Amino acid sequence: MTDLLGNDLNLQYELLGPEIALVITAALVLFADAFRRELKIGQSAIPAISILGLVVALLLSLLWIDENKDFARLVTIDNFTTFFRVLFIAVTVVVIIGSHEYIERRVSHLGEFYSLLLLSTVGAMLMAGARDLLTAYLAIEVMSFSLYILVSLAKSDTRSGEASLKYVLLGGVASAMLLYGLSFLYGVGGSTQYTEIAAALSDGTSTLELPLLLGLALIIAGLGFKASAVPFHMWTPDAYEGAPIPITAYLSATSKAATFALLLRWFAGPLLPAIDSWQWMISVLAVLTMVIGNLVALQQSNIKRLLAYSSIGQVGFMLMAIVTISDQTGSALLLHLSGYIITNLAVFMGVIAFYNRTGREEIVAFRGLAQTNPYLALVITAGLFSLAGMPLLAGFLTKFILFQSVVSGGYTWLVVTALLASTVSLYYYLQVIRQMYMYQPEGDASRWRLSPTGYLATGAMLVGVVWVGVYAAPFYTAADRAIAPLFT
Amino acid sequence: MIPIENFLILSSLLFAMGLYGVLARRSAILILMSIELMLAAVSINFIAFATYLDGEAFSGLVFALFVITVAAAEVGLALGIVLRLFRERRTAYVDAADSLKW
Amino acid sequence: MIPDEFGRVVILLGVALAFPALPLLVSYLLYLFHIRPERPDPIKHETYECGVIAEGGSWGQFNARYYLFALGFVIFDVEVVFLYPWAVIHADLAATALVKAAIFIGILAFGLAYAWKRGALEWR
Repeated sequence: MTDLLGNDLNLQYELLGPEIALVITAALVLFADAFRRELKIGQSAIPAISILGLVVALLLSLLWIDENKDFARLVTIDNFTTFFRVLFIAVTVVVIIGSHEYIERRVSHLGEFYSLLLLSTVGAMLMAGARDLLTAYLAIEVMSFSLYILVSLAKSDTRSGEASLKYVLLGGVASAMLLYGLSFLYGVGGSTQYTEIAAALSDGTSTLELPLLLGLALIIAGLGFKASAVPFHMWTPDAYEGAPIPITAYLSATSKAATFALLLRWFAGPLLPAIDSWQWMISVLAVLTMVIGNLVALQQSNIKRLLAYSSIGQVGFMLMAIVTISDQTGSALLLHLSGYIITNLAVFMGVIAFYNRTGREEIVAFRGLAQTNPYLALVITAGLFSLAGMPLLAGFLTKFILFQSVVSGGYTWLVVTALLASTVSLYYYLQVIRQMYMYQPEGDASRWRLSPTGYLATGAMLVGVVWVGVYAAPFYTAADRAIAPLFT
Repeated sequence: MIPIENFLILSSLLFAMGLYGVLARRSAILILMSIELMLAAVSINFIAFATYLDGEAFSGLVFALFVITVAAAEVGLALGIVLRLFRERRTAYVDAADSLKW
Repeated sequence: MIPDEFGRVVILLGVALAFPALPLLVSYLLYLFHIRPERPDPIKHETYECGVIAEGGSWGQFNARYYLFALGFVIFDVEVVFLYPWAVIHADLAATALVKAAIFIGILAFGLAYAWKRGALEWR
């Protein structure tokens, strides 16, 4: 089949197998939930169906390792896409397992919850694979719309609706700005295809300097919002605090990684010829983000807000890799993203298990956790130390490789700022650890245990944090192979 | 032929009005309407560029169609959330949504 | 002479303005020359001069349920945007185009069925 310009279109639907599988699963989940009484199935059948669908999608995405094909000139299926597909599916599986207990008790509308989670995973996967501006935009919105609703699903918590309102309004403004920027990019590039925009920009950027600059600024503002870069971060702490904790974990992992996948695709592809116009914008954004994110984190008293600001600080570090974009920094960014996601999920799975028991999320509530549940204290400590960048844990190694690649990209001053910001972050992570180990528990000091699913999720993430920290070779190879198609 | 600048000026005026509305209005509904203005500016831009620069391909026009539908979905979603908040607080003003502060 | 694009817009604008202005002007002229009698009546100042008498002001609050139905309508209404281009050229497309449109409508129908099952279509 050909399109209107006579280009051959490759309509192999099996290329989109994982996405199609997840959409069908989402529909099945909705159906099963709506007809639960008629079908006589229990509540836990719904997460089971979701996990089954995710496993099928995982297997289907592994079919395309080392391939480089495109679907109808809209989606690229290469190692980069496969890397992110696997990453996003894994995140969703961990979130579903680790928060099973939480969701049953504290989330309204179970069927909607799981199906929207699956749909936002589909959006994230397509963001990584898109090769056309329209596909990328639709993928962003599929992910964001699902997240807007997911944030509002915390049962009997008025903060939830409010967080969702702020998220949806600011998100709407951000997508409008992004789109307005894209319209200028379309005007300058004459196409919505990444490859053709890249070709047009490397031909004659000089004649269309102004619209291109305007478009770039708007695109960076819009994506800065999605990645929660300062000064577009205002929604992040509110959405993180108001959302159900599994969704906070999911926001900090998938939505962030998907935005960086898109940033990599755009700034290493169609926008690379205009690097002189955007490099300084991103470096300003990176400095602001890591400094302000880490400084504001110092005065937080709620663990979810603390982690929100800490994740903002981490975004600053990751933006450095976009400034000095190359195959080396790109692969370092992928490695750091995976390490950061594993670490963050370890912390969040710990916080969810803690919340299930106590129903509290202030930092002082963690007092004496080392006595009442030493295992959980160990998991959270390992995660926080890894976020701070302690050796032998994931955070140290991935951060080291990231910083080193940025230095060799010629931006030493950025890395110096990042190191200072990183030192500040150690302080607030240690505050939480101090509460757990240096204080006596308030009230009930008896020991308690996690649910089996809680043990499964926290244990897997703890192993992951240590594994990446001491033996990152497989992850490193995977990141290298994933970034290669972007730079050929 | 009307020069393309006219369309771009029209769209940038619409966009600026929308952005002003977002920043100045305190009612969630009015903010949503301002976002719609911004999206209308986007559609104008895409259609203008599609007509002037990209005569044989329809990607800009198709983009405008998708912007229209996605905007409708977005308003639907946001109004649903406003309704939920309204049931809890009896107001649609964003100033009242202040239990989350840094 | 055929006016250029902006000329047509100006003509359209003029016609559009003349439409409401002309009857008012004619009515006023008839009054000036004493052809039309003047009989003021408060009923003539109602928002709708004929039909049901309006209750409450025009700034009254509407029941939130109306918005839910309006939303449902708008979403399905806008989806038709995708069916128009398809309908215009579907004769030239392969038979699979019909299947694809059916899938699209099927997804919408699934959404409608789900909303129905959840009771979103009931006036509660």
